[in-house]
Amino acid sequence: MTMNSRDDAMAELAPFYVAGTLSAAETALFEAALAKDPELVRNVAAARAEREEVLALNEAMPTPSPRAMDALFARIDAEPTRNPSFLSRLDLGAALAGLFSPRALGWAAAAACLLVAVEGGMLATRQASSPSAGFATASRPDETARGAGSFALIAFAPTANADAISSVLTQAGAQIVEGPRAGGFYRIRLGGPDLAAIEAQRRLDALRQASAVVRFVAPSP
Amino acid sequence: MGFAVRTRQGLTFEASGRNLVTIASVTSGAMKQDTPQASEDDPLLIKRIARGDRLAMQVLFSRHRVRVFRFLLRYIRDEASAEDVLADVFLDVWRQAGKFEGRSSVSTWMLSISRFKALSRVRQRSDAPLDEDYAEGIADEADDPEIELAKRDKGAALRNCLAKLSVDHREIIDLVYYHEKSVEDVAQIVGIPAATVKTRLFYARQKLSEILKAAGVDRGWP
Repeated sequence: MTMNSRDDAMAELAPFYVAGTLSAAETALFEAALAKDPELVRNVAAARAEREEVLALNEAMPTPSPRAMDALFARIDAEPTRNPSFLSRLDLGAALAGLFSPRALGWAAAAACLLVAVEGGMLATRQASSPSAGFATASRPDETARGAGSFALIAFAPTANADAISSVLTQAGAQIVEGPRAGGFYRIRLGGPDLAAIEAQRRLDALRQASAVVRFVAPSP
Repeated sequence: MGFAVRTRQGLTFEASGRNLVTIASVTSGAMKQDTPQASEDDPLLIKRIARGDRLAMQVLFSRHRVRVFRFLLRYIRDEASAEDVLADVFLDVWRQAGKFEGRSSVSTWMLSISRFKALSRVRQRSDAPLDEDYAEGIADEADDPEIELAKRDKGAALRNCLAKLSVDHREIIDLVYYHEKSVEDVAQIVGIPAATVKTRLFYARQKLSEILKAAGVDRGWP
């Protein structure tokens, strides 16, 4: 059977159809061609068999060891510390873009610059008057981590996203004070020295119940 | 001959049909870490990483480490070296997160970085098993007893013949089927025009049919 250029184009798309990466319009065109072209049907059957074996071959390949994550975070620890301002945490630019015209946005940006300058000045003043204040990454234990209170070691599920983790920790009244350690463990603070043992246990239980997010949690000295 | 990888224990395993079941049983479930649903919030993670959020970095790493590692291993063929490059890739993500513009998916962006770093590592290595001829895409069509045995099982035959494709052909097949990348994504990762992606994949599949036919297996296409 002689193929024309349209047949060629469809034949080339068979693997993408099988993998589900064609657009809706391309999929509709492809399926219309598939309904009346036996050669394309054989092509798709071959592509399905290929996909199955490619997935099996890749799944048989090794996975990285825990050493890979330790090595990565050791190198990240050695990177210069980032200290984003309060305004940049708010993602102010994106919010303003949705609210104002370009001209108004210009004025808003100028105002934001002024606020950043004022905030910088205030932070510098606070820094000067409070020598102990400063930024610390979670991996470096701070005073809170060394202080009194109830603590726990926690590891999160690989599929847990940052929002889910934040939500679970907030609901349990916990905060990360150190980590990640080897194996992806973090040290969390369940509460201060005045936290009753029964309440600390209740918070631990709440974390354990969030099994979709929390892979492991146990009390820590 | 299969696709050989040097393991951390110094052993070599060949990704052929013969030892597939044993290894698959050890690593099963790894792919589930990176589902399309889970990747929808990748751009949000990148924003947080750009602000220095280590927790977001850990989530992103946990989500993509297996696929990126396996992608690297195809080129580097040594687990310890591939782990070093894996850390290089994610360190680049940490450093460059603020420059990510969202023109492609995060995983496509990371695979682009991975490919560049893997090829650089292979070129640097004096003992690289991936020699120049191999890198230029010359397929190994030599028959072996495994193929003979595999004739009885089409799936095993297909796995053996996939391992015999050239690097260029195998790369594009993995990107489309395993990494589920579109024509445009593959074009960006490999650095070739979209039309070339389609024709290269078509020729790779035709080559696969030829290798199968030479081994006495007719899969009915083309």
